[in-house]
Amino acid sequence: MLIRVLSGANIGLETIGVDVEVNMFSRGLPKFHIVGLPSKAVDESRQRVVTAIVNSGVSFPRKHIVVNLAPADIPKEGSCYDFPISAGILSAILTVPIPKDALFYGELSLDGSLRHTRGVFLLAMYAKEAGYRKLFVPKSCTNEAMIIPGIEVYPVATLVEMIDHLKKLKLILPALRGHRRVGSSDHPFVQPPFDMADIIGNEYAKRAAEIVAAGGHNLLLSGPPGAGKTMIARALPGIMTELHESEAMEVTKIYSATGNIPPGGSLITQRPFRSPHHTTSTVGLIGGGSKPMPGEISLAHHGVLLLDEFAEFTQDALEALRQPLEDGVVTISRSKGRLTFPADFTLVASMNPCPCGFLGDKRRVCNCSPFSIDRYKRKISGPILDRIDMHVHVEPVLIRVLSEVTVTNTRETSAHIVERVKKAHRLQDRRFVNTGITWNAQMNSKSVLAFVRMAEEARKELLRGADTFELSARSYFNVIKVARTIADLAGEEIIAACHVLEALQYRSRSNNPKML
Amino acid sequence: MQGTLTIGDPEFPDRLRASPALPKRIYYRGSYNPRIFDLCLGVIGSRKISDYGRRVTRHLIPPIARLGVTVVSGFMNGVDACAHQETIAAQGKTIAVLPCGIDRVHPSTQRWLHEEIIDSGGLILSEYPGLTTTAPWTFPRRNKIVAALSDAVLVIEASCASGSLMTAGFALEYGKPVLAVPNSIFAENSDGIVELLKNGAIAICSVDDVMNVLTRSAQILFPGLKPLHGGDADSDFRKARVETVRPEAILSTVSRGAHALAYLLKQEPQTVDAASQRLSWTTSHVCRVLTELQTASLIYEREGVFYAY
Repeated sequence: MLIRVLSGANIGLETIGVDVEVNMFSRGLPKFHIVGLPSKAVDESRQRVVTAIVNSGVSFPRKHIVVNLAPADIPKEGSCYDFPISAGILSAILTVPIPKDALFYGELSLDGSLRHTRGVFLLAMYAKEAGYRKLFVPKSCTNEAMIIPGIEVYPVATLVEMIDHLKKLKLILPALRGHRRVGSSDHPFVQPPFDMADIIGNEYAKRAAEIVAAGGHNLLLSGPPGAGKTMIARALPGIMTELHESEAMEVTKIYSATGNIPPGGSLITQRPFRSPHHTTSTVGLIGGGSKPMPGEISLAHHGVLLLDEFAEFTQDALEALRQPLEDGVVTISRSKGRLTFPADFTLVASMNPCPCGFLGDKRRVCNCSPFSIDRYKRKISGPILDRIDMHVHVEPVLIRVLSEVTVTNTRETSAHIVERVKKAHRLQDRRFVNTGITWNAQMNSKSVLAFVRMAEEARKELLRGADTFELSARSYFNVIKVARTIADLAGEEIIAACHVLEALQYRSRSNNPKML
Repeated sequence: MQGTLTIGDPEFPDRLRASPALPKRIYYRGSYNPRIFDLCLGVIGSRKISDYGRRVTRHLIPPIARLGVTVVSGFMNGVDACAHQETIAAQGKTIAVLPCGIDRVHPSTQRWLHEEIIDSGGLILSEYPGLTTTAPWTFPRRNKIVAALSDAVLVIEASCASGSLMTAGFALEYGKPVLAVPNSIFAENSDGIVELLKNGAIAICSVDDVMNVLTRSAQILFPGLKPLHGGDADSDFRKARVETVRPEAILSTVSRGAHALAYLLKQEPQTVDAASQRLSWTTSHVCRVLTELQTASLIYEREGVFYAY
């Protein structure tokens, strides 16, 4: 007797349909085989399936069972086939039909309950595209699957429930729509620990953070230890706007594929904020592995990637950032396949100006030798520095200033700043309608020429500045983009001279050896 | 262009014949013209140049170089490199004496400066051939050559245990005046300067101070010295002074608010945040004015701190 159960396999961020064929013979010795290039996790599924079925009160038949995962030439990974395999076997044991037009997906626990499984959102997207109407998934994944409209999601808590459903004793009801939780508390990101109003002084860096939030520019914060670089970077999510609908879908897809959506989690609407430690490997940062998986840069897609202690990252990892910083995607080729992951992130990096950290500090003396400063600075290559649109020096705040602060302050709160950022976003949305660009930072040199209007006076200042600061072609365009964002924050459609003059101070400063 | 000169050659610099301890063979890079040795000022100092040292070098060297004085130094980081660089920027002539073989650049990070010196018509000298590496004893020998080539040695920032004091010692040995730029007694790299001044070095506060000593010293050492460029050295010097741009003149081209900030920076270097607090301006406005002042070449920035020239 042959039973066919439908499921899906996620390869990177793509999903293909997988037919789980279950055949039960009465001939020969009792055996249980899985074929169709199962990985170790899929092969071990036999033990989970048998135990879960037995623990659900159904006696496992002493028969010869063969499970085929078709198409048979694609390697199958992960534990998500437990549920379709067990559903097929149950259907064969109980001689009841499997629901038509339905996909099954999920991992089993030995007690027969269904565990939270990664990749349900991708399966739901696939179901919608391929025209399947029903989805049987673990209960904790319901919200994730419900993001996609037009499919019935059946939350399954245990195999017993599934048995009752198949026997039509007690039907599992499709989850109700209309209670989709947006920005729920079970979000994968922690709330920013600081409000901008908590940061005393550092107005210059705060202004830069506002421009980053408004225009998506990359930012390098440098300064002595304890200047507040990390604090500003950590407060950044608090002044960022929420994701657009289409952006939210892309981000949720990556988080679902990597198992980063917590049980009960739904659509991710907050911009991602990732801060990997500086010992993170190149593969961990960029993505890859023998079975390519998205790295931190993809997890920061449409959000912020904070690389604290930038100079401490390995040279390889930093240089590998070049291409994704430029293209917004990363393509990983391995012997087992070639995958492209989106990686359109805003890079916020922080570093000290020298090994001891006090170079340029007015109160402390730097005791590094010229050689060690040079070696330290050369850790960040010119091409990487050039790709960071904004370089900002953070100066430590005087203790005297810190001690004079009272609780009731007049500093701007994040909530106040975010209003300006939203206004700037609305201007950008209007400007880039139907172009695939969301932020000023994403403009290439061609779209800069097409979209940027500049007053004559501003153009003159820009040329003077480019001359004085010996800007490279890339940093020249970056200054224009930053000036565009500054004008957007001011609500102006034409860039004026004052916007260019301000933008020039945030320009990227390459390691010019002539700055002795 | 490169070549070798030995003590037998008529082109061999006379200044290196002064003592038997000096090399009898010297290698050079760049276009060799003996006139480059006419009037030489040795400029030496700490490898770790402070902002004060940089300011002093920027203030003193360009007018002197514009007069046709050759600036001799040791091609190290810090004061040496800054002196070479400022001379080139003022279209003057400079000589760098290397502590390593003529085909090597030490420190290798200053390859760009090596090229600029040759391109500007300056000279690279070394007593070592080929790719000879540096050794603890090559540095003092290099210092000896710097002292021997100069008519006077100007020390900008030096600590007590430094090569700069050694060069000053050689200069005294050869009868060359030693000049020192005073600095705060609390500053790093000022104890060597204090030591020099205590021992009778000439304190330098202006371009005039340097030029007075230099011309007198050159005339004593080489009585037959012809005036520079065929004219009167003193009037040439005045002309060079007039040609140096007065910041006040440029200041009139920038916006009015800029005066307040330029004045503030002149008193004390500032960061963006500090200036914004002092003037009660927004940081955006401070940035705008700073850019204006920078494009007008009135101020410069290092590691986020802005300095007036």
